[in-house]
Amino acid sequence: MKQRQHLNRRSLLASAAGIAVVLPVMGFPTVLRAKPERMTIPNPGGALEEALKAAYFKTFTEKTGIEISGAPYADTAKIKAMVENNAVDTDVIFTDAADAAMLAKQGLLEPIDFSVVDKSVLIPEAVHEHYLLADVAAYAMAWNTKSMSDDKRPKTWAEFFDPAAKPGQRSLWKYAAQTLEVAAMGAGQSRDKLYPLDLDAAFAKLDAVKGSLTWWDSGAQGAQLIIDGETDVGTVWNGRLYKPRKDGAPVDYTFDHCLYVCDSIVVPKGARNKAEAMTFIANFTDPKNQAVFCKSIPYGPVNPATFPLLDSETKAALPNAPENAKTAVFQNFGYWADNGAKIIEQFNKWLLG
Amino acid sequence: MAAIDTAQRAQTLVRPWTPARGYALLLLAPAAVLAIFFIWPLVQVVIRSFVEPEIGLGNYARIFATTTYLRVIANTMTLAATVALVTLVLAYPVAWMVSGARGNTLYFCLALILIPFWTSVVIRTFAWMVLFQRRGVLNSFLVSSGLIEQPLRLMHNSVGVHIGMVHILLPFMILPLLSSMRSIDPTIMRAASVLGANPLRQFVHVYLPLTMPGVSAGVLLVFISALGFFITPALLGGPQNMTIAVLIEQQTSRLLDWPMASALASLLLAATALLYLLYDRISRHLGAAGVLGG
Repeated sequence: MKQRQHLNRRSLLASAAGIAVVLPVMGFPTVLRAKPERMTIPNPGGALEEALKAAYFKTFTEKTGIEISGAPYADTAKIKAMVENNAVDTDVIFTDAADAAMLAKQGLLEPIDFSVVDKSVLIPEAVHEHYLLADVAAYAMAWNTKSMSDDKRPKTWAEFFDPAAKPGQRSLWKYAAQTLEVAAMGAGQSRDKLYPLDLDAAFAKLDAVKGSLTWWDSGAQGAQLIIDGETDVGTVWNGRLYKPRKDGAPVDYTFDHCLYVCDSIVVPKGARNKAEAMTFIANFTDPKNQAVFCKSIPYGPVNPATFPLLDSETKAALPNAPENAKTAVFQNFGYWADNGAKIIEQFNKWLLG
Repeated sequence: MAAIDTAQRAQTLVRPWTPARGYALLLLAPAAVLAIFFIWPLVQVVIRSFVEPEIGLGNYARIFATTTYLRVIANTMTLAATVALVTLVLAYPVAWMVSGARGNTLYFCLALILIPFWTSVVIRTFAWMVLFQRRGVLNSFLVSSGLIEQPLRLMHNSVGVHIGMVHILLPFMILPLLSSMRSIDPTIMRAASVLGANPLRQFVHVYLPLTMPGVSAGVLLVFISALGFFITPALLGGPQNMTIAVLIEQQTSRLLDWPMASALASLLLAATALLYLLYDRISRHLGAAGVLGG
């Protein structure tokens, strides 16, 4: 008789609490396995993920037998939270290079193991202690071909920031980084001495176009402004206009004087499968794989041995192909990690007017 | 009989329903969820703003050292208040019309209010962009019909943000208003009229005070939602329409300065709480003075 217990509210609650405690614990042993069967790689998604899959995920699986699945973009905030709470559930992440520099500065990334990854085959700009550049895209000048003929359009940043000489509605990314670089070039700062940025001169250039300027917040919006003719000339990321131009939209863009902005490949601090992560990165540097990547998305390789493997049509679409690279410049990601806070504050103040 | 009925209804309106003691325990579960997943993280945010990178008021000193942050907070508050007010003015007559509808007309009206309510904010914002662009639907029509010569600047400025936000937040105002209006006993209005009140007086002294709970709920809902708006000001607004949510996002995910982001968020929370208390005081004061309440 004593053992007969009613299922009352309290015991129900107690057992529910018990299950809630036990469940996550049961999940733990799976992470103690020696070699992972599967790795998850967060990345910016969309067309880029398709290119990463074909070029790097599939080839890595063929070599090692480790399955790879893509995952939604891990922004810096998510990576920081993951590392600080000791809950790192990924080993390799594709992220924005400026974000990678910021993460590296805060000590949230594992150093790249250069005994596994051969850095001598990469362009020097791509190699950093805690991250490698993963591709080369361009923050470039684009224009609507209906409202701006080739002789009426600005050819340099100096002309872009001179609306009296080249009239038309302009558009720029509403963010300090990248936009202040092109403004500084507009003020005459040369590309080989771009950093530290001459901020006063750059802001003066922004003042000059203030009256005919539309800001954009997302890459898609920046491209749409030019396609729709909402603005006549502006900046875009080249990947955003590649397909519309091919499909006959009234747009064109140039790699002349463009700013190279990049994705990067990083290993978060405390990653469980560090060795496999480094093998993945070594596989990423293979020019054969980079060639597959460049064929599916118009972002350039970081291993220059890739170019001879590409046909001329593919090369023409890549920002850092030799014939496109004559006047371009790499963004200095470390500069923004060190000075971003102060400059962005100044930029916000300028925006408010 | 009707008078007694009305009196009883009035009574129930004043005293909200309270659960019996035993049932109150049922609230423990949702309270625990709130405490663990909402209040505790919020407390952590506030604590972080005071203890990192070092203990003290350093983050707040930085905020107050430049006028940018305070101006953006003030901008955000003004924007939210204007949007709440415009929404109220637009929603009140709509809710009044709908509250009188019955049967299929009612369902039709509710569908018109709810379908946009269920549509994503991003999609509705993009729809406004299609309409408002320099070569968008509206400008093309106005220019080709000869009504204007130069296309109007309808977006990338305050006009665009206000229109977009009012449109998105209208259902949040209409629905609480509607619920308070539909709970008004029509015999009360008849009684006022029998006692000799003209339509204006009926509205000001009877109808409006009875809808005040809906007005309060709607204004608060819209104001507080508007404070956190991110996408609409970013896409439809100009640079001067920067909202505090944008700055907090910059600090959180671009600059990884969480203590600073926490300080900004705490400041917004404090300012909102302060405004809420003020609002509560004023509405109670007005109620007690008999200006709006009975």
